[in-house]
Amino acid sequence: MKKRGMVSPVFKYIMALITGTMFLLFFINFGLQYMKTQESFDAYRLTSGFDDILSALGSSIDSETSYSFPLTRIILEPDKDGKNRYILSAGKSTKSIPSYKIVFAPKDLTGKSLSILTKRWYMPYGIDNFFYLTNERYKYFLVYNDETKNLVYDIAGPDDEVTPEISKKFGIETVDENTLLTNIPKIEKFQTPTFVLFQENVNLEQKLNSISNAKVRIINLNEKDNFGEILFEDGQKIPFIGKPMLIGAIFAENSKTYDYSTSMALNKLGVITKIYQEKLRMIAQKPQFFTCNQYTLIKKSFDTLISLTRSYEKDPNEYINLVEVLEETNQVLGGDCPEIF
Amino acid sequence: MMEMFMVIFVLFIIIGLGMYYFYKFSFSNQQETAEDSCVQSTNEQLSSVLQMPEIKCSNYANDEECIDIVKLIAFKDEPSIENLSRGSCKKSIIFKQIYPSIDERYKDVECGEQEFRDPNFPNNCAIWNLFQPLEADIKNKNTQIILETPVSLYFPTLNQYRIGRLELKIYQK
Repeated sequence: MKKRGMVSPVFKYIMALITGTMFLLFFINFGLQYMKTQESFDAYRLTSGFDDILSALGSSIDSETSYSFPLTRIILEPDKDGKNRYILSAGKSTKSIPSYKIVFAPKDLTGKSLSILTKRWYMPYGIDNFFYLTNERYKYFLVYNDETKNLVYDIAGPDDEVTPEISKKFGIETVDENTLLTNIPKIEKFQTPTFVLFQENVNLEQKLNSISNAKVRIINLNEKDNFGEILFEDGQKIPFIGKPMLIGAIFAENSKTYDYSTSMALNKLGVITKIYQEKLRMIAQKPQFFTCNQYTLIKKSFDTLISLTRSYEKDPNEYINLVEVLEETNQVLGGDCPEIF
Repeated sequence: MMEMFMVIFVLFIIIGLGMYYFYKFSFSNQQETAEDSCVQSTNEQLSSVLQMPEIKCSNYANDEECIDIVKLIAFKDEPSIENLSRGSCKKSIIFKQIYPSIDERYKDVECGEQEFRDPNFPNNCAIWNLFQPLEADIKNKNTQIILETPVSLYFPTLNQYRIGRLELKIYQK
């Protein structure tokens, strides 16, 4: 007969098993939650630290650096809210930070380090720094012919005579279009090669397009080498204004991100021009500068430039003309009529 | 049976307390790290603010190492100035003229467009408050850390340079 208050051993075992499982689950859950929080916090520190590095680098008009970190996946995406900024996230973190830097980079920067290059964009005055990011997973080939050799060498050629715009550590190689055709089997070993052709070559394009994962971009240069149009792998044609924007086409993930970054740049051009327009207005209001007639001309150019940037017009010719007028008009200022920029 | 429940109950309390203090310690540690990272990022900003094309001087389109005070006044009204603030790291950005020293009456006067139009400019004001966080954002933050650096201020209408100071004031709990 069972006595009151006595518990069967089977019940004790079941009880111990349930309690033990509860404890175990509780600790596992606690550990996982803690790891997740810590991971998220570390990722946030990494991204904000990375943004700080870009800011520090932005102090210079032309410089490069490497940024090392524990093996992480860094993702850079245009903000979907249309706020003219990038969203930077790292690891598995759901936390991301906004970055207002104008960046040209592959979307996925998984690795242990990043190579960062910056160049300031002038139109004709300093507008902002462009940042170019890449890592050892990406390889870029700048393809030239006799006509475009000088420009390509100027961008990333051998540094025995003139220091090129981009150093070798950015995974860039310059190749003659004739030798590239014979080297195609070797090139196929690269995971995601980007070929930038500085002159149309239908035969070469077809061969390069047959390489899996290869991106083929064609640069159509204007008479002045710093302006022109880029034909992306998806058939999109997007203009470039100035060499820093041309360099951006080498590193950009695709035509969409390139277009996004160039629109950010045009937006910034509008902001800086607006500041100069305000500066002009304030100076022109001072009685001692009432006789400065050149200010009217500059004001007109500023107005046109601002409306151009607001319409996101990207025709390089429109900008070239305005920049030339602005430079010429500002050049004659000085002395009794202070220059505006 | 009762004793077993009591033991489990006490164990739960001990573990609960342990976890509470562990979380508290861990949270304050993270907060401290976040504050340190805020100071560090502000330190970086100290030099990057001086290179911003929005306020930097230029001489015939070539960048110069000084701050154009007319651009400084113009930039203050730009909506993009909000981009200077990021996350929970709240700070103000202030430029002050220190030499030649300004009359005591005008030492705390902010230089705006109205002061600029005055014939006494630039001797009628001494401060350019470029960016100030919202009152609500700094309400409970009583600690202030000030990072500063000397700057050259350029007055285009006089073609004159003066010595100033850039102050980045961080608000922390």
